[in-house]
Amino acid sequence: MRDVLLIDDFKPISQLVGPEHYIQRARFPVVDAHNHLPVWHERAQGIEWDDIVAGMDQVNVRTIVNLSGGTGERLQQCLDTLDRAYPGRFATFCNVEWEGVAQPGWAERAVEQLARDVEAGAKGLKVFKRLGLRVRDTDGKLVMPDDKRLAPIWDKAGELGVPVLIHVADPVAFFRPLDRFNERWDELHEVPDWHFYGPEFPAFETLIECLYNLIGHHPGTHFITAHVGCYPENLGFVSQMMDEHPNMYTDISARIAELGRAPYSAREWFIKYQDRILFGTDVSPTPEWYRIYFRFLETRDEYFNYSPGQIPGQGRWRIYGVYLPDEVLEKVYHGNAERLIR
Amino acid sequence: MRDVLLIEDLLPRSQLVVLQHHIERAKIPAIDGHVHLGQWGGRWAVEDVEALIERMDRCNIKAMVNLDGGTGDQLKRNVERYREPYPNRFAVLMTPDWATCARPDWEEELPRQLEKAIAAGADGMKIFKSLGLRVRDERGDLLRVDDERLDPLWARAGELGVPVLFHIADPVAFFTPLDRFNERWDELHQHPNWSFYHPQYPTFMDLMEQQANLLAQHPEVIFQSAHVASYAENLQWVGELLDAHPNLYVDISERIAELGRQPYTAREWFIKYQDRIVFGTDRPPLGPWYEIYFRFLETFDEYFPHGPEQPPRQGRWNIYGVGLPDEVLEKIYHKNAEKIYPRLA
Repeated sequence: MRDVLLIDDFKPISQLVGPEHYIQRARFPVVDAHNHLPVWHERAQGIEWDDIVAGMDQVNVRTIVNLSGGTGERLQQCLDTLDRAYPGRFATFCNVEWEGVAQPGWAERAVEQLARDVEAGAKGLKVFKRLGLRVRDTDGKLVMPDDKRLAPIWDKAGELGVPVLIHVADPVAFFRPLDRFNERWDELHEVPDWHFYGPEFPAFETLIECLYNLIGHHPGTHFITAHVGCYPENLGFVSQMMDEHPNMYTDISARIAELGRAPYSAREWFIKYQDRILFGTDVSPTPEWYRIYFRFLETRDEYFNYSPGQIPGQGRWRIYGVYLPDEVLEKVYHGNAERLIR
Repeated sequence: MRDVLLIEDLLPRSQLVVLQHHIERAKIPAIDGHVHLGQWGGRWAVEDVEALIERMDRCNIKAMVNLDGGTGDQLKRNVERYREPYPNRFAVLMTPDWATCARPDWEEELPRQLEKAIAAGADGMKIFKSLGLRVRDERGDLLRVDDERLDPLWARAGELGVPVLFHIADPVAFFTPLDRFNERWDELHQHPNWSFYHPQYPTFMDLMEQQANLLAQHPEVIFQSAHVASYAENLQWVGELLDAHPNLYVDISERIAELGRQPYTAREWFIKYQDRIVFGTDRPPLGPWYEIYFRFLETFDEYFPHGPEQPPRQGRWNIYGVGLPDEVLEKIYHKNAEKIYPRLA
């Protein structure tokens, strides 16, 4: 017996004995609407795309949406390597280049670039959380998502008929003090860079308000909010936003830890908004990860790990499946994504 | 920011925003079928009986089963303090004096103790977990729960028509190594003598087998097995035990942490065995626990603490309500207990 135990060493094994289901293949073909395959990045060196596709086939993932297309040349590289090399298996989104944001002529250039990227084959526009947290204008001020100077971009996406997948803020706990009361202590301790508590960052609530202002300002544009409306800790709020903004959609990527610890609410939410929720993972596209997502969506399993690691990466708790009915699963797995991402 | 954190210092606050219900009164009158109201170290568990009655009225607890009768004077004091002034509000259970087992004639003596206690006002018998873990016979050997030398004791309960409430074993994790993989680390670290992972103790499954044997040997006796038959971690197993032994009831005391972390399975189990499950807490009745039990049984609240302690006393997780229908609640809250303790009806 030890007298003290460091949190990093504590890896409790559950003594529960109950039904366990391991879903080898998704019940319906899947579109993973939130993933990152930056083929232009050094991280992608050595990846065999044939192997990725073989892994997708193994678990019934039809298409992966690659949100890290970049723009211009890089985008071309992604389109050549993925979208064109494996027709129907990948859909790449382009990104906005924030360099020189809000300088005269910047918005016009960004709009033109977007048009060119979509023309080249980008299926949508992805906006990273840097907007609101790190992107600064020439005065050094943070540019918030609802900044009017960016409006032409969102309108252009609407006009071109491509969705904007946007991630604003991060888990609520990342905006709270990193002390012993923080429920994401392990993760923030691992990656201190993700801690946005302090005067240099806007409050979580401010960012969320800006996100929904943005969505409200551009009713002609389809917005796919990343990570359950960027506020999975509060499904009541997300539901209210979905009611208010018919142009709002959301993916569930990287948030089954949150959804699965409120499984009663999550199940009702999935059923109520079944036409507006997209499957997504935002994790390495391996069979192992996909199967955890399938277990969450398809089974009634209880108290299981939401990630392959021994210490769960997003908080020390376990999750519950939401056993969605077939007609809901079908929409979430692929129907909604197919409607939005063409 | 700190570089290292000790487990006891981590008190994570949930950022979830979900519906919260505070249930101060049971929806249907309840009998707490598992409470300790006796003297511990000379002090009464509840100093002020009037305050207890008030608390019961406020929470809608119509009656309690007090497990601390013991024998002799202890029983007399418990009967006089609770049962006599408030006959419909308290039942009192006796416990045999296991020191008797050192005597050569213990096999006949134990049933006599039961008989005397019933005559003195006890409503039944409580067997603490010491049987199976610590009680030894006249030769110094650990006495098994299913030892046939105990048959006369159980048989006498059957003849007298009084119930036997027993607690065998403890949480599964108490029988596994106390290391960094133990899910009850905090609690065992707090109470090292609750760890039964040692060759001197039977294994957990051995004790479960002894329990099943005892139930099979005495179908004529009504048994209430405490703490979800001591195996709330495996409701499938408990369900099979209930199927096999119609003479068995189980109480849910001290196990909402377990039931509430498997709420889908628990809800089905409650509904399937609605005639065999008894409400009980095994918690200090003046403390804040009733509200938590009611919330667990009556609501569909999510991810709430299973106790008032920080860190959680019984494991670092949160629980889910099972939102039981009224007709099931009614049986669990009082009807089943009234079958076991008809005097409380």
